[in-house]
Amino acid sequence: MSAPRFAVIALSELRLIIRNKTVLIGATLFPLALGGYLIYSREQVGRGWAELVLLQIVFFTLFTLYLTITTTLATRRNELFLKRLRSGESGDAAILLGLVTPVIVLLAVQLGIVAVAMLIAGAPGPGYLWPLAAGIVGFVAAGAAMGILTGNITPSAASAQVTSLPFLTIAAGSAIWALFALDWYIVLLPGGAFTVLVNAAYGADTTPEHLNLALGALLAWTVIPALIAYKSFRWEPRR
Amino acid sequence: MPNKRTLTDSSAATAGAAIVATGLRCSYGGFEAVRGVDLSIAQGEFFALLGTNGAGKTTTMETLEGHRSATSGTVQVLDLDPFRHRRILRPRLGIMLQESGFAAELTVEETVMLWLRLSSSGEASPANRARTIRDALDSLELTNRAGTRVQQLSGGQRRRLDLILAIVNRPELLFLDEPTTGLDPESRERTWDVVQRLHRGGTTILLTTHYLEEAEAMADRIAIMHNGRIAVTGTIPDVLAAQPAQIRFQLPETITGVEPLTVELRVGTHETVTADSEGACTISTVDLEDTLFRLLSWARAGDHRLRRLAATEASLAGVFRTVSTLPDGADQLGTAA
Repeated sequence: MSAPRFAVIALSELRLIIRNKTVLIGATLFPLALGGYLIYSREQVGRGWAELVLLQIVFFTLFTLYLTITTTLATRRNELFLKRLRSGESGDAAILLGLVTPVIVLLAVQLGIVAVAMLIAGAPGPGYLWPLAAGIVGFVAAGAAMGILTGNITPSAASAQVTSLPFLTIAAGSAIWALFALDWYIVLLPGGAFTVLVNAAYGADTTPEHLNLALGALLAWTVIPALIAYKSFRWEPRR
Repeated sequence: MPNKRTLTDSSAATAGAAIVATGLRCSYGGFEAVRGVDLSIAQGEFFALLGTNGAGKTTTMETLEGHRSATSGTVQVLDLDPFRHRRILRPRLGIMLQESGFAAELTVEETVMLWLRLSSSGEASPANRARTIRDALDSLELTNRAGTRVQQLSGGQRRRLDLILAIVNRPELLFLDEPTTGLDPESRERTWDVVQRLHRGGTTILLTTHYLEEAEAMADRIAIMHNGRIAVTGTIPDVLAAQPAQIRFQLPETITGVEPLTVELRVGTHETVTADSEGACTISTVDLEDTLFRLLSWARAGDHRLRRLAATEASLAGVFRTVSTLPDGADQLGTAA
């Protein structure tokens, strides 16, 4: 039995990531080095483990996943590779899933490495696993959906530095802001919603309303961008 | 002024047709690239779609391939709507795009392998796949580039790789959008060998090209597009037969103007005679042999010497030039095939 088409595309895309030194360094080595530094300097900065878990996941999701998906889609579109894939038998969803999957796998491996490093450094496990698991799934899904949407409006890999800024600012900014002030409107933003779930996992006082709002916000940040991107996706460069 | 005729494309009946387009229109924003194309291509036919740059060929092709939906009109490809039934239809199609898109860092062999694994025929065993790739690379002389990354290929080699991807799934219907652009003569010949072999095996082929001699040599029928419409269509002999041949000569000094010649030659409705102020005379005729015979008879009888006499049959290049000078909004110039 042959592999599903999305898996065939994903394997090919993984090979391309490994061969492209710029992407390889930007999406793997650089985040891992910075993640290691954050663990190393935790005590000097004076932050708790829960905050470090939050920052690591936000940081890796935005830089490894969101930025790589955005630049990959812009690059493949400019190379007319998206149009090429679409001239074959693969469906639209299989093509997009195939391009996104290796980046998600890369992120999972990185998070696994960082998790092991943190446990070795003495980090405690979360008191409640499900809010952390739901938060990671939701934040990663939102990052992937927003990456596809941003990639859809990004004309080239270079211009991704500009087009990605709004979501990077909103997601990272709201995650950090929520550490200090957990207003309801911060919970509506993806970083704020994720912070609520991480705090809940590590035993902070969290109301059920805040938890539900956070879960709903991450769902909305996933479904709405994914639908918009799917309906309006550009498979070839603008003429 | 060219003849204006109504297009009736009856040679490929709708039943059993590989492609049928009726009143096809395609717009980009406010610009209408295709303005009412009627087209019918029979199963197993080799059809060439010609036209000037911006005539609407690629938009028509991409609509037939299912890359874009028609703004209006109907399109049937192998009895299916190519846009709505893309996933059912694609395993039966081969598509060679006008501009090739590859992942630059995959090798030639990896690119063909990827494509094969994405196609229904890729369900074969790994050994069969390897043999298919080897045969495909061999057929277009890319075997020695199998391990080369696509970004290091020349333009011609990329074009040949493009063709391999289009035919590796043995399609029933093959779209070729300017397949030989950028190829050297030997590669062009090799390309056409491969395409002709497919055609002989029953594959329907829709080709766009700027090389008229290729269309003339390969196609069973042609259509020439201009300003988003089909201006002329039919078999090559039919297209040429409907266009006037030309006889050129220098009017004898004893003849003043074309009036006496028109009378003495008994010029019919299928002929026109013109002359410029230098006495260079042109007779346009749809029956070259008859007109030339009468002209020579007249010259011998009157002892006229026809200096610089030349007779030329209608050529596809001539038809193309005529079509390309049609004003925007002009009616079609066509023949029934």
